[in-house]
Amino acid sequence: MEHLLYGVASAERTPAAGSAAAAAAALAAALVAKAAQRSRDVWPEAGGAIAQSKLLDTRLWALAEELEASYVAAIDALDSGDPDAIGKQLPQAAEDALRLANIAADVAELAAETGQRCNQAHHADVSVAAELAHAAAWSGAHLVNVNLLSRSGDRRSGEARLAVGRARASVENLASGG
Amino acid sequence: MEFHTDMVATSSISDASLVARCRAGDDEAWEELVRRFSRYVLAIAQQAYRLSPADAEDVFQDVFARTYERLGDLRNDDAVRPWIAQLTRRLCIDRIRAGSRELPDPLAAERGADETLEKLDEALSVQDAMHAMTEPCREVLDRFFCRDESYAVIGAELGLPSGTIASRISRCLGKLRDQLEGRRPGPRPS
Repeated sequence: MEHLLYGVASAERTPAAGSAAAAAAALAAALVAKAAQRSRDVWPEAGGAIAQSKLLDTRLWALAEELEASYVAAIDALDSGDPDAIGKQLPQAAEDALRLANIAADVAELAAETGQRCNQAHHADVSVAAELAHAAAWSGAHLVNVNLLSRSGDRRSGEARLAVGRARASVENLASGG
Repeated sequence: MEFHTDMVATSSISDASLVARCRAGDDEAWEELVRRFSRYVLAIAQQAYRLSPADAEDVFQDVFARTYERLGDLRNDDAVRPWIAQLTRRLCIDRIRAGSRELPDPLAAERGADETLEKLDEALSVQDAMHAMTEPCREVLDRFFCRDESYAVIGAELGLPSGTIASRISRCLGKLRDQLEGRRPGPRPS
């Protein structure tokens, strides 16, 4: 994480927004794992939430690498002005950003599920997790639109909005104590 | 009333029942035994002993030829998997020596093979436990852990709200754990 922070703050092109958002979602997954770990005495299926959060965390760190690679390729394509390269690289970057939105929404939903079952002393942890995951899902959706050059009506744009909606519903669910 | 045991699907029967049917000369059971353990044998040869595909194929043929000849020697039918594993290991080492290759550090090589075999056994146990689960559980676990699908995709495919998928996965993982714990400790080869 410290390495990532130095990298994001540096003058290098990457890591940038994609990695930062993926890291936020990974932190959210870690908070979910903590709440589940500390609730084993009251929640027999806590192990299931831990296994899911670990897998989502693994997916997020792998995706962060792919996001940076597709971002660099997209910027290079734009710099080159080659329409073929732009037509190939920007949609790929949008696909990767959409995956970020979806995985982050999964983390938010797992946080909501954990909030219902865990020891309520850890409710604040999962609420923060859901907020972080929601922010990451929103960031993913924003990067989808940026890479689609704000073309409206694209499938990916619609799917990203749905992912943000899932994450938001999870935050609201936790806030209402549901 | 007449029972047609050969009508029972061989793919769903236990290792011990399969061995008993092989011993009774059931061809279908032999096919299932080879199918059930073929990937295991090849994985030991190629991953644990790093044999070439051609050498691994030769070991594969030897393992099942000897299994056919010596299955009667097996004293505990439940232990067919470790028995096949031991046979495969011995034949892999024979193959390496026959090729005039020296194991660089025999002890380290055996330790490495032990570790790989442990992982293979664990994977096989999980696979067996998955087969013993109900179809809905098997499907939801397979979609999330093996096919990398999101809760939204799983929910859409199964006609369920995505917000319920996480709890369903946790429940099914609990059942999988129960299945696995019911299986341990595994039998020793005889």
